[in-house]
Amino acid sequence: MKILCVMMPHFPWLCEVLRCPELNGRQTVITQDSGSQKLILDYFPALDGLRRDMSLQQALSRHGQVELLTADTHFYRSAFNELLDALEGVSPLVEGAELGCAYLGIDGLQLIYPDDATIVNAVREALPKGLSPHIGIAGNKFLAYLTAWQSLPGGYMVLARDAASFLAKLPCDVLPISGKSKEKLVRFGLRTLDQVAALPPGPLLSQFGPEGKRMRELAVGRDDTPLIPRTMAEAIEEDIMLSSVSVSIEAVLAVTASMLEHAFKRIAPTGKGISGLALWTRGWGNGYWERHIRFKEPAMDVKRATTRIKQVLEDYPQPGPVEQVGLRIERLGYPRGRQKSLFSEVRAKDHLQEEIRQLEFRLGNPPLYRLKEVEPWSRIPERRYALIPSSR
Amino acid sequence: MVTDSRKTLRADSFKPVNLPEPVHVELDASGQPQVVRLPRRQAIIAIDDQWRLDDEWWRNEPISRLYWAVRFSSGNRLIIYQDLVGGGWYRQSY
Repeated sequence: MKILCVMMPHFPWLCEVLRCPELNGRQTVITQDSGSQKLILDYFPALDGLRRDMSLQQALSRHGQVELLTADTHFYRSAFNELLDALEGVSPLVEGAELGCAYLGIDGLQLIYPDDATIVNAVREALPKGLSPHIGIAGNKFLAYLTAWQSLPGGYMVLARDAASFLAKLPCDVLPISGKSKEKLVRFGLRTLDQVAALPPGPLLSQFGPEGKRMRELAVGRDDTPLIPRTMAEAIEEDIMLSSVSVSIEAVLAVTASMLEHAFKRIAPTGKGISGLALWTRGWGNGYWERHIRFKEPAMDVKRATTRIKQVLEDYPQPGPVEQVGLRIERLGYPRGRQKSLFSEVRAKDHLQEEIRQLEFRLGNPPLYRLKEVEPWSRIPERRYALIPSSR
Repeated sequence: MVTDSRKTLRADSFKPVNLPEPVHVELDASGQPQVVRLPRRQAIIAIDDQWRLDDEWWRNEPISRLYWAVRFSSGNRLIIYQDLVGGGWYRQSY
């Protein structure tokens, strides 16, 4: 299979610069919380000696004068999703790997793009100006990644020659293996891929386990990892700015329920339910909170989903007052079996929905609202209830 | 495949309920409400209750209100408040 890899190194930093151009050229470091520690997510490319997931203390010991930015993960992911949307205009098979790295399946597109240069141009045109992506084309994901990594910013590289000679002198650091295994390779004196490829599989397996087998296959240029195109679930993302900051679980839950209703309407025709989602909040002072929520049985309606979400909200409290709530549907699934209701309440609800649609058509959008409890105990009367369009 | 509408919810799709309505209030010499225009002038015959609400003092626009539960000669009751930050008077059920 022919795969094209688009790589935009320092993608979070690029997003920050696109949002605030004054940051361009300034020594900035983007940090994210990991438990009680602050780790580096990204940094101004000219800062040497830094790497991702390095602790902030280590980074500051090298560059004491840097400006610190708190990671806006949701913003980076949204920007990345927009890029993937744009790339889907070039090829229907698009996989978003980590932030700033995407793979496109380009087999069978010869009639539209007769040669590699044409498809590379189409990819460049699909992306916003100023990103200067690295592009690589090869027969599998690992080789496509490496050719992109070797290409110049804004340029592209096609692996036409023998993979073994291309890989030979590359450092073992390029292997997608754990840091521990990389350290072990260094201790064994294995620094380049040809040294790993020269070893028989047995010793590698005995020293590194299944990872040893994989690293040898990658070192000889074999990678059978399939391209996993984006599914509809990945595209369902919603977020709401609250009209005022709130510390209550019920307020977060009320807006989450509203977003879920919208999501369920989009999912309904597939007959699937939600089996996994990510819920995030952004608080006053830019604090970010995110949890991935899994459902034992796919949730087929808002009530079931919110019951589980409420448990998570109670178990993992918000770090502070919340200003924005969002969710991203990550996994859909079919229910194991459902008994259909003998009663006509479902039909009555459909009937009511149809009436509402008719009214909206006649009177404009949206004429009907539902009253929803937001913070019923609030001391501020206008915060207690809200009207939500009934069609949502 | 379901078409993704790409629609993002907006804050204005949520409408708050029971928003305060501005009213004109005349005060007596001691600074207590005496007459409320709704829009007809209605004289206050009794003040049933009075309480103060201070909240969100950490924000740029803190909330500081002095509520009055008043009774008119017609027997009707009303809750009004004075915005201690902006100075205006409003009616709002509590």
